[in-house]
Amino acid sequence: MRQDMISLMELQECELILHESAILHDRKAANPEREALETRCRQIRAGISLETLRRYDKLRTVGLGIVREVNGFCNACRLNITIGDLNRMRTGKMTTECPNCGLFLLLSDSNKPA
Amino acid sequence: MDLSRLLPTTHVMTNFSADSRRNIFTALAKPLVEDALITDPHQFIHDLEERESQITTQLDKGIAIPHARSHAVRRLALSVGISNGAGLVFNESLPEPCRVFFLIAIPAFAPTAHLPLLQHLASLAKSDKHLNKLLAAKTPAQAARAIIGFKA
Repeated sequence: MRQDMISLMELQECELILHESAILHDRKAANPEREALETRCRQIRAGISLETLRRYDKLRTVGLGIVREVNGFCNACRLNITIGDLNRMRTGKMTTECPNCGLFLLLSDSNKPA
Repeated sequence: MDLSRLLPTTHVMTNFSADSRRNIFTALAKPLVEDALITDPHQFIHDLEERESQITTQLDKGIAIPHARSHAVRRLALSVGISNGAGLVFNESLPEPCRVFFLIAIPAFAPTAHLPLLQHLASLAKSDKHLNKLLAAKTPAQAARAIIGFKA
């Protein structure tokens, strides 16, 4: 699960860079750097489970799909995630999604499950 | 977009000069570091270089809008450098030197906060009238007024 979240974070970063490039550069002009990034996006997508990708794409239609959990707080909604929920996420008993805003969470690896 | 709060005069540099891309980043980041908007300049410059290596942020007409998401950034920030004369080499694979630099510092916790700003600056870059006004600015205050006065 954590590997999926790491891949989602990388995918989101690639997509954001492509979005920035679309603002800055002419989309019709050939750009090998952009093509390389698009290829990278496809490669990352191929390594993520379909169910996770479907949910991620749905979230991305209205903004971010994944954010980091820092010190027990979701970096998107800034609300606290209970230690119990964090432990359940770390042990795979609960999906790594913020219980408040629903975004995927990349958990900090500083805390092991209690 | 109202840039008046995002762009104090101290964040604008006319007669901007640097001898390499890294030094361009360092000089542009300096006012943001002085205002404590960037906590770790080395990390931020590393993030800028990494972002630049993915897809260049240089546009046509000698404009560059370097930007990076970084954990070293405390809040969204903007600085501007305007070079006199022929301009500075920003991307060695592109022949055209740059005369105007907009540096955007993006906090890692708000990775999309800069997109409206990026859109606004890209529109400014396409407006010859406003670009000429910006290039003709003699002081940071004049340059800041030219940027803030632009309405997309």
